[in-house]
Amino acid sequence: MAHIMLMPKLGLTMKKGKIVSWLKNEGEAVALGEALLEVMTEKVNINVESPYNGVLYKIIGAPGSSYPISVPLAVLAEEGDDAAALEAALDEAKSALQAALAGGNDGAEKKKEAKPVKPFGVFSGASKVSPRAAKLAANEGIALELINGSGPNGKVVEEDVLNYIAQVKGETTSELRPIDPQSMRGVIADRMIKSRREAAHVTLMKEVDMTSLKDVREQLNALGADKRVKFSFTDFLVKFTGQALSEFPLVNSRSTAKEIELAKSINVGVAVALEEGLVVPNVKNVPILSLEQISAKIKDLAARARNSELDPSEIEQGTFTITNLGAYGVEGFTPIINRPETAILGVGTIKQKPIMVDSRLENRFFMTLSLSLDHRIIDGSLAADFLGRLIEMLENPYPWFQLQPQANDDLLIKTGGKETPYDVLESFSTGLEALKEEAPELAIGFESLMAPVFCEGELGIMEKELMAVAIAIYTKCEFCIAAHVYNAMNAGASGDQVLEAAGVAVAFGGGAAMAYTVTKVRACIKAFGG
Amino acid sequence: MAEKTYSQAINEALEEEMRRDEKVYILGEDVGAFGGCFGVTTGLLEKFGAERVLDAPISETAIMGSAVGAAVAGLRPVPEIMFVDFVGVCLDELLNQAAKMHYMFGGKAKVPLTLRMACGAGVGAAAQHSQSLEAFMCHIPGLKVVMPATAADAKGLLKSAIRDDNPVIYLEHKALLGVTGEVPEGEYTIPLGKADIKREGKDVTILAYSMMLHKALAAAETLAQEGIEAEVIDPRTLVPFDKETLYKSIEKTGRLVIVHEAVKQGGFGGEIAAMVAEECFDSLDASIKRVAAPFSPIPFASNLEAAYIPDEAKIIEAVKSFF
Repeated sequence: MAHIMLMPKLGLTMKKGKIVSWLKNEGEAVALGEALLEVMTEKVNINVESPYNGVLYKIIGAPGSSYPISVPLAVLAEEGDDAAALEAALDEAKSALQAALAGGNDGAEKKKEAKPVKPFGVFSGASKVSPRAAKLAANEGIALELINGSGPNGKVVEEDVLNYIAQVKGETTSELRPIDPQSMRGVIADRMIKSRREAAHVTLMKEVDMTSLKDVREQLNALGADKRVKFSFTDFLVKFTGQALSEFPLVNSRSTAKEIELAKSINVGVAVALEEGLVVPNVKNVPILSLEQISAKIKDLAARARNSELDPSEIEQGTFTITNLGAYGVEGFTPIINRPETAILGVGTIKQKPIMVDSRLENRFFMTLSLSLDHRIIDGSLAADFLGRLIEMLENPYPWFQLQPQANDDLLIKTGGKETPYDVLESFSTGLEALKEEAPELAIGFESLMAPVFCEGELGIMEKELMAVAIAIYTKCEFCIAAHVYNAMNAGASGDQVLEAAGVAVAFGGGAAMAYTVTKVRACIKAFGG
Repeated sequence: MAEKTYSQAINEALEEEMRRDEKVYILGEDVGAFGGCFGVTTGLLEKFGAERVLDAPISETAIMGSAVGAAVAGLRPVPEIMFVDFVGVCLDELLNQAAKMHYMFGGKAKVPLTLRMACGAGVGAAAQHSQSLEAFMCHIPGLKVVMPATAADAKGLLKSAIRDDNPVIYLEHKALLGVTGEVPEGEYTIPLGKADIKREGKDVTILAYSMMLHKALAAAETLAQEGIEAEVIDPRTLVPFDKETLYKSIEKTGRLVIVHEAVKQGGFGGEIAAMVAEECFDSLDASIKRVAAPFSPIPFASNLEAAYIPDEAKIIEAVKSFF
């Protein structure tokens, strides 16, 4: 029967792969386990084996293109397949591929579709005006130059004049909608203003380096992939906040005008935005729950909140609230305390920033936490300690999960001072190419001098290049060193041979040649030797 | 009220007027024994006899010439030219005699005739049998021009036309003959020169007549689903033209789309647009749009004919250009 070959998942975190090339042609036989195509993932190139015995019937995944995992790439035929069945399988595969591509990257981040825009006017006044608008403007004594047109081709129409008049009179075109005090909006309005009036709000904001937690999350999600567990940052925030609250009981308190109740349990609420307003169900007894239980609980509460299926007990008895506006790109804000609680944590978006770490420039991920507290109960210094403790845990999460930091070279930002030997080679060759345009005689002259020198003669190329290495070191030319070490090794020289050549240079050049040998030459051998 | 076709409504108007006034008679090619090329005059020969239902020879000149003479002499002829496309054959009788006599004889002569003609495309009748030539008629002082779109209007307007003391051109659309509608029984007249608001709306005025009224109404329904409320006006009579109803509507909506099946160049829509621009300019919040046929003979091939005739989509497109 006909088989549809899918983009395989070649690693725990793989979301999509790029087809480098097909190793078989259409119509060619392929055995089970034989390499069928080469796929590039984020990290490596992998030869993908055929999952079937048969013939490669039709290829539908194009080389050079990326595809999400599990989308069809080809149809394989078995002996005895009839044409109709193959064509049917091909149609199915093609439509599945199209559907997957149309639907975004199958679970990968979907970009929000841009809404159509009506461009803003830049300069005031319009060249065109409808007669009706002109008459109205004349009757009202309004200069048309003051009005921007919204009609076809920017024409000023009656509505524009009416809007202008309303604007000048300080009116806004509005619609009055009563707020029913019994409605969700009414309840929210009442609670918010009460909280503002009763509690002495102060907000502290502090930036957190989330790079490690991001790594932990990726590691745990990879470990949890089999169980289909996927942790969100909120899950971690709830867990660590629970821990911090257990160490700062006053922050985990509820208060009235006269009493402070130090809560025995730690029930962390998570604000859920609904169309008609906000609701804050809470996760009870956070410290005794595993991260997985917290994650499941939050997902369950949010889903049921959206369907208005929450039990009142799930909203009551909260002791602390987390509200996350990160998904909306908000960085910091001043959340209003969910009374009678005494503090609330606002979570901002995670942003990548370059920052100096141990004298090197790194790419790291930062997030702002905004802690609003009721200053009647909690002093600023206590709140700052609480926030500091929470951040300390968020920035050093590994021990809490018995994990090790994953090596991540992407963190390092390469700068001019840290050029690799390849960068040096590259800058010379691109410079030479550019010079061919700017001063062709010079560039071509140089090349025609070099070509006959560095060719096979009585001396071999390798020998000549090794001589050049020694002279390059002696001349203290970083570019010449990189180029000739590269050429020498390309011509078959070993690292030791290069070092011997360097020794000759040191014999003549002394300390300066030695300095170039231990830095530049060694770096080149290391880079080009592999 | 009974449900009747446009064709039956015309037949009913003819019969009622012939019974009411014995001076009324009809003549034309095949109107008698055959009942009319499109069956509109079916049964009238049996009811009124060959003296009042005359089968004419194939000569538009004879039909019109005799009708003008009879009208001036005191009868009320209702001649039929089978297709408006053939009116050129008897144009002198129409434009130099019928249309001028009342004026040239200082009001002493009257020409009470109603010229019925079939117009319109959409039935695969090709370039010589499908035209809409109303603009041509509207250009001649002394002629009134009536173009009903519904069965009730067809009856009420024809009765008024027959009672009018001077020439009235009555254009019935071939593709509307089978369209049904409620038609009042018995005495029912509609004054010439009175438009009808077929659908109320506040956002845009669509002026359409004859076949195009139905397409405009359909377009208005679609537009309403998108939140655009179109007011659809049927002038019903092009001469005299009910400016007041149109201007009032434009004052309300600020926007005008004119729809007719005739070619756009030199069409009556141009006259309406000019009238509005001259007299109602300050009410306009957008330029006037015309939806009409391209300047070309009507194609015979059915797909080309369909592309040629203005339709709902073109009306919607014109309206949407405002928003």
